[in-house]
Amino acid sequence: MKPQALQQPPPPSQRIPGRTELGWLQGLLANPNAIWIREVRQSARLDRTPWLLFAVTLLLSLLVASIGGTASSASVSPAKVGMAVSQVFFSLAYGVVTLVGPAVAANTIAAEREGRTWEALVLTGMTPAQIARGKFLSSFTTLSLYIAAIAPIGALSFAFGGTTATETIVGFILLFMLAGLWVAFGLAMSAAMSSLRGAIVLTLILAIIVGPVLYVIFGPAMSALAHEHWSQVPAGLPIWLPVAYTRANFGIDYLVLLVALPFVVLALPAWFLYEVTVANLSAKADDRSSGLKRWFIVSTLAGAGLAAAAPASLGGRGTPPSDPASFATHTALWCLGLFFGFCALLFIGEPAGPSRRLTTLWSKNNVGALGRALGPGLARTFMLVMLLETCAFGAATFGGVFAMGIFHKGSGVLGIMLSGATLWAHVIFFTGLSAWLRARTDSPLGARIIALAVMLALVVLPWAFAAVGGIATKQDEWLALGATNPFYVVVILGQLAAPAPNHFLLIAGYIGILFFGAAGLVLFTLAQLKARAINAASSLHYVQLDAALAAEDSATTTAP
Amino acid sequence: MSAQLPAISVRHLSHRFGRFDVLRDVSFDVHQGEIFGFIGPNGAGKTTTIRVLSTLLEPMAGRVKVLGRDVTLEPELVRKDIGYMPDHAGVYDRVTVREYLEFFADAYKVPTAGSSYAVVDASMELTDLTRLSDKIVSTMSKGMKQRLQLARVLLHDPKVLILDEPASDLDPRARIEIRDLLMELRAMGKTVLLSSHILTELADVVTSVAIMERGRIVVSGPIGEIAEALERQRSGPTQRQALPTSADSPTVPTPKEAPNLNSFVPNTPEPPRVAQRSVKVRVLAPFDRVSAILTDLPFVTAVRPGAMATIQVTFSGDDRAVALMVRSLVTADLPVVSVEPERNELERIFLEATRGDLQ
Ligand SMILES: Nc1ncnc2c1ncn2[C@@H]1O[C@H](COP(=O)(O)OP(=O)(O)OP(=O)(O)O)[C@@H](O)[C@H]1O
Ligand SMILES: [Mg+2]
Repeated sequence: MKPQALQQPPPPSQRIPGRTELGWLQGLLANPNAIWIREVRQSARLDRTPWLLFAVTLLLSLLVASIGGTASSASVSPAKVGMAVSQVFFSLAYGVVTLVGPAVAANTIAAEREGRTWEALVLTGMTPAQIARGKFLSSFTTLSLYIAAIAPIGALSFAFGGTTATETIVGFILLFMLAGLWVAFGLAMSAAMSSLRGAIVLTLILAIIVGPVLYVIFGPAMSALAHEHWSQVPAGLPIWLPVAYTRANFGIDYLVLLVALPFVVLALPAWFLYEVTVANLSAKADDRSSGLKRWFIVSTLAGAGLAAAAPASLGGRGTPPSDPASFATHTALWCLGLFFGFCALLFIGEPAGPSRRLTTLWSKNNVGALGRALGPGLARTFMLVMLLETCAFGAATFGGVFAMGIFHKGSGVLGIMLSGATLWAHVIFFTGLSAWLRARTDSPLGARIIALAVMLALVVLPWAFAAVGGIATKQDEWLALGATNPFYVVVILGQLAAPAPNHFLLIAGYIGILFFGAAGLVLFTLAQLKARAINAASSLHYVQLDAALAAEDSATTTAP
Repeated sequence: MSAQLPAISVRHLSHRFGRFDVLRDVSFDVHQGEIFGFIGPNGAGKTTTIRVLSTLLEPMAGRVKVLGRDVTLEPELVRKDIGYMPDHAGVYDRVTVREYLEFFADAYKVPTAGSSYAVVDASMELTDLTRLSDKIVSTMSKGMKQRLQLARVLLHDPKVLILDEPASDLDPRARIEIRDLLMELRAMGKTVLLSSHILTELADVVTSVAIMERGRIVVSGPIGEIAEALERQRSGPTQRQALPTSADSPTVPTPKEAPNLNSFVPNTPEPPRVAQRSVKVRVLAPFDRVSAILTDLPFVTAVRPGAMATIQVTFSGDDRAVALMVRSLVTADLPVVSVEPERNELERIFLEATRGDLQ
C-alpha cells in the first residue's frame, strides 16, 4: 500500500500568526518570559534557598552589629558610627552581590547545555535574546531576594544617625544596578562555556579577582578624586557615590560626573555583556556580529569624545609636564589602546564572511548596505575597527594638542603627537595581526592566544635585550630595540624632555611608527585577501551544489 | 513517484567531525505520511543525520529540506514544522509534568485560553500521562521521561516528528503503546522518522527504512520494494555490491548517476544462480519422518531440528519451493502447523545489507 493513500488532511494548525514584537517591558508584562516563570518556580521549590538566605542575613547582621557595637563603645559620636555601619553594610552587600550574582547566573545556561535540555529549548523557536533575558530575569530575581533579605540590616545605620534616607535608598538602587551587572557577567560566562562546573569555577575566580579591584578603583580611589573636586564629599569612603549625590553642589560637573559618567560606566559594560551572551547563544551561521559592532561603535565614540574633551576641560593648572591636560591626554591614549586591543581580540571571533543563511535573509528583507556592513565578515569588521581606531586616536591626540595650545602655547605638543602616533601604530599592528591570524586558522581561541603571545614577545624580549646590552656596553642606543612596542613612548617622551635629545632613539621611534603602522595595514590586506578567497570558495561550493542538484532533478523527471 | 513534496529530503549530505567523516554522501527521502525507520549499528551516524534534520547541526555539504524548506537557510520555519525528540534528553529539576509541558507550550507560544492549556491536556492524554500530571519530572522513570519527551514534542502540533531512539528505554508494554501511538499519529497525517538499532521494535510499524552504516546509506526505500529487490539479488554473484549503496558515488554526483540515488532500483540482471534460504516449519509429526520427506526434494539442502519443536529447512529457491515443501508434507498426511521465514523481514534486510561492523 502506498503510504500516500493513507494521507489525511493535517489538523488545523494551532499556531497564531507571528505576534508583533512589543516593546521590551510591555512584552514582559503582557506575557512574561516563560523561562523566568519556570525558574522562579524551580528555585521556590529549592529547599535550601530559605536556609541560605537566613545564613547570609544572620552572618551579615552579626558582623554589622559587632562593628557598630565596638565603634560605639569606643566613645565615637553616634553619627560617625552610623556612617561607618552604613559603609560596612554596603561594602558587605557588594561582596554578597559579587559572589552570589555570578554564581547564580553562571549556573543557568551551562546547566541547560550540560543537562541536555538546551536543544529542546532552542527548538521551541525562542530567540537567543529572549532566552538571555529570561535567564537574566530569573537570576536577577534570585539575587534580589538576597538583597531584600539583608536590606533590614542596612536600616540599622539609622539607629545611629549619620546617614540620610536618600543616601540609603540611592545606595540600594546602585546595589541593584551592580547586581544586574554581575548577573550579566555570570550569564556571559555561562553562555560561552559548555561545562557547568567550568562555568561556575571560572566565573567565581574572575569575580573574586575583579570584584575587589573594581571596589578599590571605584570606591576609595575615586572618592579621593571626588573629594578633590567637591570638598563636601569625604575622602577615602568606599561607598561615596550616594553621599556625593546628596552633598555635592549641583552644576554641570554634577550632571557630567555623577549622572552621565556612572551611567556610561554601568551601561556600556552591561550592553557588552548582553551582546556577548546573545552572540554565544546564537548559531554560527546567524548574525553574531551586528550587536557587538553596534556596541563597539557607540563605546568608541563615547571614549573618543571623552578623550578629546578631557584635556581641555581639566587642563590649565601647572606647567607643561605636570599639567592635568597632558596627564589626561596620555591616560586617554593608553585607555584607548587597551580598549582597542581588547576589541581586536574580541572580533577575532568573526567568520570570514556572512553565512548563506544570512545573505539569503538579507536579500529577503532588503537589508541595505549599512545593515550588511554591520553583519559578520572578517574584512568589513576589521576595516571598521581600524577606521574607528584611527579616528579615536586622532581625536584624543587633537584634544591634547588643542589643550596644550590654549594653555601652554603649544609646548609639549610634539610629545603628545608622537605618543598618539606610536600607540596608534601598535594598535593598528595588533589589529592587523589579529585579522591575519583569524584568517589563517579555524580556531578563534588559538588566534587569540597567538596574537597575545606575539604582543607579549614584542614587549618583553626587546626590553630584556636592551637591558642586557645597555648594561654590557653602557650605551643608550640599545633602548631603540624598544621601538617594537608601545611602551617606547616613555623613551620618546624622556628624550624630548632631555636637554640634548638622542636623535638615534627618536629616529628609531619614527621608524617604529612607520613600520608597525604599515605592517598592520599589510597584514590586514592579506587577511582580507584570504577571507575573500574563503568566501569565494564557499559560494563556488554552493553554486556547484545547486547545479548538481538541478541536473539530478532534471535527470529524475526525464527518466521513465 | 508521487508529485507530493517529500516531508524530508536529504541529498548528498556529508559531515565530518575533525578529520573523521561521519556522514558520507547521505541521500534519502521521507514521504509525507510515512513512518520511516532509520536503522544502523552504533556509531553509524544516525544521530548526526537527525541533528542536521532538526536544524541543530549545520551540515558541511549537501542539502537537507523539511517540507521543502532548507534547514540551513530557514531554520526558524523548519523548527515550527518539526518535533524533535533527542536520544538522551534531560529534564528540569523541581518541575511537575504539567508545569514542564506548560513551560514548553509557552516557549512555543502555543495559544492558551487564559490559564488553561488545552494543548497540554491533549498531549498528556495522548501519551497517557494525565495520571502523572503532578509528579515531579526528575523523579520519573526513564520510560516515563521518554513519554514526557514525546508529549512535549507534540505540543506545537508539528507535521514531522523526528524521534531518536524513541523506544530505547521502554518496557515491552510501553513499546507496544508507543507503536500504537505512532500509528495514531500517522493516521492524524503526521510523518514520523525514527531511528533505532533494535529491529523488532520497528518491524510492524515502519513503512520505509533507510539502513545506514559507517556514515553511508546502504539501502533505502519502502520495505516491500527492498525485500523484493533483495529476493532477486540474493542469488547475484556478490550480494553486497548488488545493493544500491551510495558508497561508490562521488560527493557531488554527475547527472548520469542521479536517478539511482534516492529510490531503490535494482541494477543487476536476473540472477542465474539461486540462493540459500531457511524456513522454520512446524509439523505435528516426528522429526525423522519430516526429514525423510523433505530431503527427498531436490532443492532442499539441509533439514535440522530447530528451537521450540520447529524444524529448520534450508533450501535454494523462492516461495514456490516453500509451497512445494508444504504440498509434499500434506500429501504424505503430515499436519503442517506453520511455516515461517527464519527471521522477520526487517531483520533479514538489515543483516543482508550491513556488514555488521561498528565504526
Ligand atoms: N560532536 C562530535 N564530535 C566528534 N565526533 C562525534 C560527535 N558526534 C558524533 N561523533 C561521532 O560520529 C559518529 C556517529 O555518531 P552518531 O551519534 O551519529 O551515531 P549513531 O548512529 O546515532 O549511533 P548510536 O546508535 O550509538 O546512537 C560516532 O563515531 C561518533 O563518535
Ligand atoms: Mg544515536
